[in-house]
Amino acid sequence: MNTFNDIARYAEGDMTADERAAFETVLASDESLQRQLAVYREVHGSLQQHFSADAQRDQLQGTLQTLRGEFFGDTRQPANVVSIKRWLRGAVAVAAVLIAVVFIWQPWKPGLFREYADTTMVAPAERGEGEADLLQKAVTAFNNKEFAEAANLLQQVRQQDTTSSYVNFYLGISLLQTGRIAEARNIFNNLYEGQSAFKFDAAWYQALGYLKEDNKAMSKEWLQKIPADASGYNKAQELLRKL
Amino acid sequence: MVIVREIYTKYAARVKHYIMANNGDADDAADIFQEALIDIYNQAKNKQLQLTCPFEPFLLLICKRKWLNLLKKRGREPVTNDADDVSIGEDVFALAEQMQQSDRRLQVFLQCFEKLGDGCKEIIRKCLGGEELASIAEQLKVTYGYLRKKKSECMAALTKMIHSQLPE
Repeated sequence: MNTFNDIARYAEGDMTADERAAFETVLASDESLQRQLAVYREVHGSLQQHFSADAQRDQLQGTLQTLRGEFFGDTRQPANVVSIKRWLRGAVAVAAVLIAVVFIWQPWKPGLFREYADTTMVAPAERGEGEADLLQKAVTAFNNKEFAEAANLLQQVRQQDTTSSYVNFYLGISLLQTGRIAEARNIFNNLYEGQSAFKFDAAWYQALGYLKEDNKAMSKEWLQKIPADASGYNKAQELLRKL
Repeated sequence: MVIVREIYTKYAARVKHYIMANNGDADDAADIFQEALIDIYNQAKNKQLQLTCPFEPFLLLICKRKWLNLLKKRGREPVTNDADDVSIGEDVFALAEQMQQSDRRLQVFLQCFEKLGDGCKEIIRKCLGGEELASIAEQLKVTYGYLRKKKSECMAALTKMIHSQLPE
């Protein structure tokens, strides 16, 4: 068995339903496979950005070339001079991106939240009739970081099955990501009170919710609820040290 | 455009001064400045870079690191010492490090990509470039199913090679 072939076929959606289910069963418990899948997605994403055309970047290049001579007393001319019209058209877009870069001033804690809140939703192996399609759409939206859409879809799934801790857990994250913290907190509380596989993951996201609000004390309190034998323990300890 | 000009007005002279005092000339300075701004743009656009530190020391640090790397490649030693870095905040270093790190990873990806066969290179470049798979299949005179299969195989080979080269 060639692992990377399987990973690629899984990620590209080339597997049959049976193969997919089998792959996901292994994936759930195999950390090395999870890491390899993450590398696959990173490579795919990076190269996608690298190879796709970016008109704004080309515009910025043009702008930089024209400013170059003025500010660096340079005699070299760009090989093909960008026409004024093209140059003006892009200017607005370029400025918008740079404004975002230069002036969006984020305090460091949302940074920590973003660093730690990132996760992917693994598609469930077993699916009930009817909800399968909705759930699949929710997984896709979630993994594309369209959390508002994911929350919407997961709420629909939940109407059919209110007890699924899996659905509740990812709904909680989607709500958290879209800033609906109070609703998320409610869900994570219930999960933490229960005995599902998501018990301590719920505690983890509860901590991140407080982190997002800059409530360090509550964040720490929830991190400390994650016991040493839970899978999220190391991560929790790491974050505790940073707080 | 106004913003870009503003950035040049504010910082170009300092970068030029630094590089010219460090075995470089005005052309080098212009190249480095330009590359740094493009890098920041790419990061902002693709990796959702959010500035969590002041822009000025961040830009200057990026330029400086780029220049020191280039000097090293040219086999020359830098002249000035790092004493003036002391005033730079930890957050600035962290963000610059994060940016360099993701650039280094992309370089590894691209080096491995170059080692693939021509067929795979073409397929990956086209498929990830945003074109419709159906139209790529038509151009390459293969079936849609074959193209999908090849894309997975090529991406698998590439990721395998990259995985063996990345530091753990």
